[in-house]
Amino acid sequence: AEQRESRSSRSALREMDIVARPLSQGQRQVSRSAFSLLFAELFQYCQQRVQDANGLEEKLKELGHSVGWRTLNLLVARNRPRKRDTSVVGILQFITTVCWRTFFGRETNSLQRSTQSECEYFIYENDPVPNLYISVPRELEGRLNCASFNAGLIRGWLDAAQFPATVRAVVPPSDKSGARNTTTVYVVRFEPSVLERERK
Amino acid sequence: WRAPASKQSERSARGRPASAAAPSTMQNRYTRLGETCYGKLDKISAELFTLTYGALVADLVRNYKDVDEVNGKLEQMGYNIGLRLIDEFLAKSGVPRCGSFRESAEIISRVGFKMFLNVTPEVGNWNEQGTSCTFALEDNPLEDFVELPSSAKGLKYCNLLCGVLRGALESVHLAVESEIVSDALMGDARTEIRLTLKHIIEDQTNEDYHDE
Repeated sequence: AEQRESRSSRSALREMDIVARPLSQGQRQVSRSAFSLLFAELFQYCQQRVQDANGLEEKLKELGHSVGWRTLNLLVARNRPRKRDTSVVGILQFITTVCWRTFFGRETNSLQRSTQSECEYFIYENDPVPNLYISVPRELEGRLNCASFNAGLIRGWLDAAQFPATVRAVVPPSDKSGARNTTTVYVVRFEPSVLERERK
Repeated sequence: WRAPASKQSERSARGRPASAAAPSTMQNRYTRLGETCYGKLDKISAELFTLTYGALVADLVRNYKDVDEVNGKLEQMGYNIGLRLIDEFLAKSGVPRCGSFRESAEIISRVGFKMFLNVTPEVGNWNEQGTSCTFALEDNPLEDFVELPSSAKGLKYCNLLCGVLRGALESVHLAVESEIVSDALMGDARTEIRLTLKHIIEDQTNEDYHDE
């Protein structure tokens, strides 16, 4: 009887217009393997459609962007409905804590401001999820970072929040120990209009 | 109850008459196994998974004008995933050899789907010979937040799942056909995939092999 009840309430939900449905809690999970298998196949698909490593990163960013762009409202509505982030640091903190925690179950490792350029910020992440299961072919090593998908996500969120920027995923130069560096840095470069707005 | 066979023989599930265990005990056993396996795995937000899949389908629709081509591409991608997924599935679940296709179907639903997608589709609508059934997904994680426009008529949004089933089962020597027979995104009550066993793939020896 319980199953029947939830079944009828689910079909009632489906009758409703998609944007009129109540907001889900977002607690649902799947195994990480499911995502990694899907991502690996997505990666192969992108690889077939582009000419070079750069194009591949751009394609991954594009896909990440479409995910991020669509979900900002959802994340804000669930987590911070009464407050809108209008400062650069505010939105970046929202992204590196709330958004990251919702999607990846953890926060990024650090957020820093560039000393060389006032419109650049660095977000450090150890072992980004997209990089966990893709082994980059040797000829592309150093030129391809699958975490470009995450870079796209960040850019998507920023775009939706009216903070136009470009985001790249880079691997910082490895330390002297020679161990493989699994940290990725997302370099966020805001457009000048954003900084002008900040100054006001 | 047979003790788990070695990995080599686990890879071939022969269609033998059902084992002595009653269906409900078997089902409970696999439900418990599925829950245990899922419990041990690392998790990730279902929304990330759902939306990434959505981004992929949207990209496919943009690039392939013909809806049938998109369906075919999704099935092919699913097939590739299935080939990889089966190894992980067998390694992490340790399911023993199946006694029948009915048992295989229960394992797919209660252990396979559970482990990866955290859902347990209802297995039903068996044919007389026990070689065809449907998997009904009440709550399909792939379909959250999705609404198909009228221009996407004929798009089988979840075709990836059909491919996954085909690829994974082919790796354990079961040649199957799987197709979406009911689609919640197209207005049906729920999404259903029909799985039909075509034949068992015999081990192929090389034609040049001669017994010296």
